[in-house]
This record gives sequence, C-alpha cells and structure tokens, in this order.
Amino acid sequence: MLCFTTLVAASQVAVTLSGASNLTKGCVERYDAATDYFPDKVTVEDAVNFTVTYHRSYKVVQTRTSASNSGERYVLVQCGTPTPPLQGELAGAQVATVPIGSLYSVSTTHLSLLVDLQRLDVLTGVSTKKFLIGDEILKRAGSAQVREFAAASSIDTELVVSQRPALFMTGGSTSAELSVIRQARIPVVANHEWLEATALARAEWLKYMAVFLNEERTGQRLYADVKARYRALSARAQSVPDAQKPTVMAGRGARGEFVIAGGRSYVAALIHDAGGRYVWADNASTGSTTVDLEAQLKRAANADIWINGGGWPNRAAIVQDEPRNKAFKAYRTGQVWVYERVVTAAGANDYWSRAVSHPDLVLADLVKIFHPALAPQHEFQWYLQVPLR
Amino acid sequence: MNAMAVSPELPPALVTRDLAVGYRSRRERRAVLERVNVSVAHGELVCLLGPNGIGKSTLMRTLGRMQVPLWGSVQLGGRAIESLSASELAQRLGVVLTERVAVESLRVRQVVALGRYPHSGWFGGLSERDHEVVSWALDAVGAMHLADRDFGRISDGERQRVMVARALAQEPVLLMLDEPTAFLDVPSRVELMGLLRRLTRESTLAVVLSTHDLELALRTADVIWLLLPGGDVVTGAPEDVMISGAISIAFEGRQIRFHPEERSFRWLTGERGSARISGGGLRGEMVRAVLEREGYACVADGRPPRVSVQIDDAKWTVSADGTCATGDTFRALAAHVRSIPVQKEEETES
Amino acid sequence: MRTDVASMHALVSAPVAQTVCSHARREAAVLAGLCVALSAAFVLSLVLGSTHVPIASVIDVLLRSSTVDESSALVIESIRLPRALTAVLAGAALGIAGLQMQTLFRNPLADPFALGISSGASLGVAIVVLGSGMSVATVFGASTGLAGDALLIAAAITGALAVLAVVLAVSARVANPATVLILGLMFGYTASAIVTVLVGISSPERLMELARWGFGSFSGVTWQRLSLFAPVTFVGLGLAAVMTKQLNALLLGENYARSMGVAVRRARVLTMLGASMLGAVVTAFCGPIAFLGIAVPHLCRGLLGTSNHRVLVPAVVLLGGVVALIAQIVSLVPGNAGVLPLNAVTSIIGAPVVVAILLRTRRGAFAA
Repeated sequence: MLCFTTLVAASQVAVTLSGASNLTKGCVERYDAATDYFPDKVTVEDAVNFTVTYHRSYKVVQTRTSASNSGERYVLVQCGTPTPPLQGELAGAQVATVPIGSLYSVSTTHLSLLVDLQRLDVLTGVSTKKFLIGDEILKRAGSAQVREFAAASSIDTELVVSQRPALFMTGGSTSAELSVIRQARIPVVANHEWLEATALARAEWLKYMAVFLNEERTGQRLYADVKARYRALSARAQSVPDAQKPTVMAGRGARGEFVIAGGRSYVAALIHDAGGRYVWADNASTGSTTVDLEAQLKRAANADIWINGGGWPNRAAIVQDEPRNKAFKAYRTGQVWVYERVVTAAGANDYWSRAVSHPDLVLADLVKIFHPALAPQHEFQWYLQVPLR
Repeated sequence: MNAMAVSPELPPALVTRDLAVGYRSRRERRAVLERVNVSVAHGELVCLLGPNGIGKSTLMRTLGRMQVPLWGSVQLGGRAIESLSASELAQRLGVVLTERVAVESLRVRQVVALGRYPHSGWFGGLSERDHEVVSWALDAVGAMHLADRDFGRISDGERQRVMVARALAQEPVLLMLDEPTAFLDVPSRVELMGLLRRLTRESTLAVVLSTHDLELALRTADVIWLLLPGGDVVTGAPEDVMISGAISIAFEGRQIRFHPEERSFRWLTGERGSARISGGGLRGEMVRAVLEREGYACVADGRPPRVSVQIDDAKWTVSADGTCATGDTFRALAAHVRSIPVQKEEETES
Repeated sequence: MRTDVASMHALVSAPVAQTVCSHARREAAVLAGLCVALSAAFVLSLVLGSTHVPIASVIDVLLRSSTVDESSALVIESIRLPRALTAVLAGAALGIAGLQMQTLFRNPLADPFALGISSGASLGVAIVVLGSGMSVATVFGASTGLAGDALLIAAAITGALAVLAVVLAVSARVANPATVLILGLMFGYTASAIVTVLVGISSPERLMELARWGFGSFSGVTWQRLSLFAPVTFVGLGLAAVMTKQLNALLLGENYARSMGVAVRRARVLTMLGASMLGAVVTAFCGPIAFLGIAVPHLCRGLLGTSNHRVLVPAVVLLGGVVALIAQIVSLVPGNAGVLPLNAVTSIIGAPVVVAILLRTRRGAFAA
C-alpha cells in the first residue's frame, strides 16, 4: 500500500516537474524560474481579435476591437509565481491570476463556453438569471454559489466588489460601473467574440476562455474537432453545383425598412459555407444593416429560402408584422426558417447561448435546410420551419 | 340724411331693473354696485364715468353679458339678455374694447367683415348685402380710404375706428365701448367721440361708452352715468350732473376742485397768498393761470393782495413787497413770481 | 338701425368687387400654384426611390396597363403609392393642426404637439417597447422582443388621448388659453420624464427600436393601415374646415370673438380636440414628425399675404402635402447607404423657415 501511494505521489511530482500539463486547479507550491508552467498552449488560427503570448510563468493576452484599434492587454500570472514587472509593453495592463477560481460573466453566451470546457464550477456570478437556458447552466446558476449582479439591468457594483471574483468578463461594452470594479483591483476582461467575421473565428474564442482556466489542452482539442467537422461539411455543401444552390435572404422588415445581415457578416459566411447563395453577398457591412424595403424586394423577391427573420409562431404572424412580406417567394412557398426551436418562456433563446461555440452544428442545420440530402442524420438543433398554423 | 330725433315710440335700447353687479365666489357674493336702474334710448350717447376701481368695467361687462349679474335684469332691444342666443346677442350689441388687437395680414375690410359673423353663412361666406353693410360701416366711420390697407400697419386711432366699423357691421341696436380712447392721442380721441356723436345723431344707434376723459365726455354725451363711491349711480344730462355737485363728490381730491362753469378741474391754490390782476382779456386769463400755478389765489377786491400784476399790451408788471419787475413772456413772469419770498404770516385764502 | 342702413347704402359709391380683385387674384394664383406643386411632388415621389424603376413603368402602373413588369408594379403599388398618400395626408394633417393651434393660442410658435400630445404618444410607445417587452416577447414569441406595429399604433393613440383628456378637463375650468398651453407643456415634460426612466432600465436593442420609431417614417403605412389613417385624418381636416368662421373670428382674440357671437369655450374645445386628434393620429402611424406643424402655416401666410382662414385652410392642406413629399424624397438622398431619418429632414427644412419668417415680420404674427 505504501509502495503504491509513493508511486502515485512520485508520478505526480514527476508530472509536475516535467510540466506535462497546465495546472487547472491550485497554485504552484515552489516557484522555479526555469520551469515552463504552461506546457499546453493555444494557437490562434482563425480569430483575429485576440492573441496569446506565453512566457514561462505568465501569459499575455492581447485583444482588439478592430484592425486599427489596439485594444487591451491582460497579464495572466500563474498562481504561486511572482508577477512580472509591468514595464514597457506591459505597462498599464491588468493582472489576473490563473487558473481563476471564480468568474462573474456579463454575457450568457460565455456560460456555454464553460459548459464546453466542463468548468461551470468556476462560475460565481451572472448578470441576470431570467434569460438563462440549458440544464447544466440553470442548475449551476440556481445553486447558492452563483449570485445575480445586474438584475435591474445596471451592474450592482457594491455586490461585485464585495464578492471579489477572480475575474469579471464582459462582452466588450464599457460603462462607468466597470471602471469602479477595475479600480477595486478586480480584473475586467472583454470577450467580444461577436466582432469576428466568421462563425469559426467566433467559436475559437473558446480558447480565450480556456486561457483563463489553464484549460488550453481541452480548448485546443474541442476547437480542432469543431473545425474539422465544419470544414468537412462545408466542403461537401460547396461542392454542389451552383445551379442547385438555393438563393437565401436573411433578416426582417418593419416600417418600410428591412434589417439584413451584411454581406461580410458571419451570417453571410455561414450561408456561403452551407452551400447557399446570399442575395446581399456584395454588401460591404460586417454586421447588420438596414436597407429600404424596395431594395430588399428587388433583391430577394424570388429568394428560395428565408432565414433569421423574427420569432413568428406561424405564417400568419409574418404578414401581420408587415403585410408586404407576402411579396417574398420564400413566404409563399413556406420556406421561412427561424432559430426558435429551443426557447424559454422568459424569452431566452438557446441559439444565443450554445450556437456560438458550435458553428459546426449551426452549419449542419443550414445544410439540412439548403440541401436536405447532404445531412439526413442530423437533427435540427435550433432552426425550425415557421409552421402554417 | 335727416337727423333723427330720439323717437319716443321706440322702446329703450337698453334698460336695467334693480341690477346688482359684482363677484360671486363659492363662499360669498360681493356686490360692487346695487339697485342700478338705468336706460339708454335709441339715438342716445351715454358716457359712464367714475373713479378707478369703482365698478365701471364690472357694470359694462354685466351689461354686455360677459359676466352674470348678481341679481336684477337687463333688457336689450326689448328682450332679456339671458334669453338671447350668442348670435342674437351679437346682432343687438356691438362691443369695442380697450385692448389693442394685433393681427397681421388681414385687410381692414376683412376685419370689418368679421362683424358680419352673426349674419353670415356656415363658412363665413358673405352675401351681397353683407358686402354692402361692410362698405357702409367703413364709410360711416370715415375709414373707406383704409379699406385695403393692412390692419396691422395703420395707426392706433385708425385701428379703433375700424373696430367701431366692425361693431357697426353687426347692425347692432346698442354699441358699447370700454375705454376706447385709452391709448389714443388727443386728436384721435376727439375724432372718435365726434364719430360716435355723429352716429347717434344720424341713426337710431344707442351708444354706451366708459371713459376717463371727463371733459370730453361732459361736452359730448347726451347722458352721463356717474358712479359714486359707495355704489350709487347718478344719471342725467351732463349739466344736471355738474350742477348737482356729484362730480365734485366723485372726483375731488385734496388738490383739485371741479369748476362746472369751465367743465374742468383746477388746482386748489392760494397757499402763498393772494394776488390781484389789472387788465383783462386773454392775457389776463393767462396771467391768472400762471399765478394760480405758482400758488397765488386771484381776488378782485378785499384785503390788499400780496402780489399785484398790471397787464399792458405786451408786457406785465409785478409789484410785491415794494419791489417792481416787468417782462413780456409768461415764463419770465413765472420765474419772477416764484422768486418772491414766502410770507411768514399765513393769509390763507381758498 | 336697419332702415337707416338701407338708405345709407345709396351713399356708398365704391364698388366692392374692384377693390378685392387684386388680392383675390394673388390668392387664386397661389392656390393654383400649390395644386400644381402637389401633383408634381406626388409624381416625383412615385418615380424616385431606392431602386430604379423606369418612368414608363410608373405610368403603366398608374394606368393599370397589363404590360408592366411584376417587380416594378410591386414596388410602385405596395411601397411608393401608399407612402406618397401617407405623406400627403400626414403633411396636410400636421399643417392644419398647427394652423389651428397658432390661431387658437395666438402664438406663432404653437404646433400640433403644444399640448403634450406627442409626448403622450411617445410615452405609450415607450411603455410598450421598453417596459412590457417581456410579455410582448411571449405574446409574439419573438426572441428579439420587437413589438408588432399594430400594438405600437394602439399604444401611441392611447397615450396621446390620455394626455389630451387631462388637458381638456383642465382647460374647461381655466379661462386663459395661455395657461392651457403651459399645462400642456408640463404634461409633455412629465411624459418625457417617464420615458427617460424607462430608457434608463432598458436594453440596447429595445432602445434602438424606440429610437427608430422616433425617427418618423411614412413608409410604414401599408394600404391596410391607410384604410384607418385616411378616414380619421379626413374627419380632422373636415372639422377644421367647418371651424373656418370661428377661427377667423378668433384672430381678434377671445373677447372680441365672444362679442361677435362665437361660442368661445366650445370653439376652444373643438379646435383643441381636432388639432390634437390630427397630431395624435399622425404620430401614431408615422412616429413623431417635427416642424411641419409650425412651418407650413407660416409659409402659407407668407405666400398668400393673408390670415384669412377661408383661403389659408386649403392652402395649408396643399402645401403640407408638398412639404411632406419633399421631405420624403430628400430622406432618400443617401441612396444605397440607407435613409435619412425623416425627422432630421423636416427639422433641417423647417428650422430655417421658421427663423426666416420670424425675422422678416418684425412685429411677429400675433405680437401683442
């Protein structure tokens, strides 16, 4: 018996000394300047708005909001090792200790990342419990360890500061409350995956979350799987001859205007990868944009498929909203698809929770809509066809 | 056009019976004037006089049905005014107020045409007769030459005349004017009063007019209604009212006295002593005026005066306290008189 | 008196017809010109749009010929035609409402919303979009929480009518019209304050939705909604036409109007009701639209040179339609990059007009 435990202990020490994986829990007992404490590293392939640079005992994460913007820098120090001097490039950077033991998250999208990494245990604060969805998330949020810090839509700074989470993650917005939290020496980091232009790039921000948890190994593996599946399916869908690719319109009209997904947005990219032809492919916007109803009719009156409209419960609701919708062929043929399959009574939609890190599944949904024969086994995750009644 | 005498067969244009006017609030009724029994015959010009705050406006407003009487009745053109509809009232009573109406971009003719409101059709369309009445009204007030001018750009006097024309266009039985001359200069006031007198002389129109212009009213009105402090109303021809001393009661103050023979007020004077004037005529009157202004009462005989003034053709000579001075302008006279030292012993003379 | 008038007429020699001739000619010319302008603007708004539709197609559609191509017909019939009609109605309604308010309150800066009506409408809309977004989402099953337009319209009208009811109740007890204006202003501020509170606790998407409503737009009124919008507008315009006589009398002020036989209190209530109804209905269907109500009556007075409502009312109806159509066309200027908010365009047109007019008439239209 003693022999066995010694063997286990010895192997653990051996593992630690040889640095075979990141410490996902706990701190380093004795700091050794020569050790590389991050044998598992992430490599950022598709995302363009964050980078991670590794040093032996700390990582530097750089985010930016656009090509011209320098964004923010965070220094993630391995627990138990000394903080490096914040000079030169690191001046003014926020410092966080990894792996984090607690996390306050503003956006519900990021909770899904924790589910993927199986690290919901670090979650200790959500902005509001009203819009949560997903069994595991709901269970964790319902537990006594998780607090609600923005129930009335503005952040309760006193609560946050008194609870002192190890990390406060936002969706990229700024506000006066955040500076207060920052001044209380709680690191406030931005996770703005939604600024990426493709679905894969957005999904890669899983690694961003992983970096704070020291879960690089899991993060790399998961993303690689997702990417592989995505690429494979996309290749098959794009190989369909052009004539068989359906024309697709996306968006929703109100008051004589139509809000569409821009031609360089991730929705347009998804449509293209799923073997569809987006009517606004030549539009330059990378997000949503508004066009005049006339322009939309001109482009899309004969589009085969209409995705990402509104939360219509049935087809009658589509024309109730805007009677001129019946001019669209997609409406008349019933090819209107919305991602309302998994919603809660409170109005939360699983699409905004889980879909971000599973673009392969989103793609599969779209492929099943555009080319049903290519994905016969796949079951719709989020999309459903607006029923007649 | 022959002048029409006040016809005894026609009933009075306006008659009140035991009228009391004042204010009514939830808790009390405050009468400003009580037991008012007055009437206006056709063709009569009545001036309503009285010190400020005595209730002239309240009475006018009540007669014009802009205010409810506390009790008593008012009859207009033979009918009780409460029984008249708004349109019927407007066809009997025309009103001109003090307030300055400021409208741009309306021609004078259009303003007068508004007076046809109680007579015109649904959308204000005017028949040929309506146009005729408008032209007649403009002519009657002597404003025909202003007909196409912009109402906002004519003078105040002209504007009031146009407002009278507008009231005339209603073809009323009675015209009521509430201090219409308050903002006018002297020539315009005289013109307006002259116009009103002409209208009453030349037609059966009755006019009731409240004014502060006492002297003009006494000269022009057929009947005066004088409101006295205490709520009494004295009515009669101007001469009746003047002789009765009521004007003195209503208006005299510590420094003025009403002189019926001149139909005007004069300063109470004589605090500096008495004076005697030799020489008459217009210059004599002027010298008297200067002396009174400087505080000397002019006496014909009696005790020896303090100051003596002799008037020749173009010169005056003042002797007082043994000194003598002479000059030719009244300004110099006033200056000299002022320089005479005040006598210690008081010889009061009123 | 009447016998005298008959005999006095003989004295009057100036023939009536001649002296009014030149003014009547100017008025007729202006009205004719406005008719032409309205027709031209209407046609232009059918021809211009964010997509290119050849003029020949426009004509074909209007003549209902069978050779027209489908997509052009769709664009003209379902988008441009109702939009143009809405613009004309809304412009006329706002212009007339502004005219009524300016005359009633004898204030050159009065507009249809001086009684706080548009603030009431905005409050109704804000409550629906921001406050109850929760239940609306469940009702409509929409994850984005956008409210159906029909609900927005109902909310706007309710809000406007609520404020109007309070203002009318108070005005029945208050003699001075200026007091009513100030009360309306206060109600407006109160409503805006409540909206601000709602804005403070709302999410960005809802705020965007509310902001978008606040831009104002003629494009949202479909034929279906037009069938409700048009009759209500006609009733309001008709009410104003019927009140022409009273409005003219009111130009001299309430005291004189009363002395000429106008039932002043009833006229006041009816005018406020009519003007507010027009303002409320336009706000409900098109969002709050600024400046047309103030500027158009002043422009008409300047063109015609008169304050006579008999000629001013039709002129305001015509010019209101013209200005609204022009604003609509100008808002399309950015082309493919989107549309300018309608309110921005009306303000850019309207503000200089109002300034120019107030500077030109040194004494102001209703200077006391």
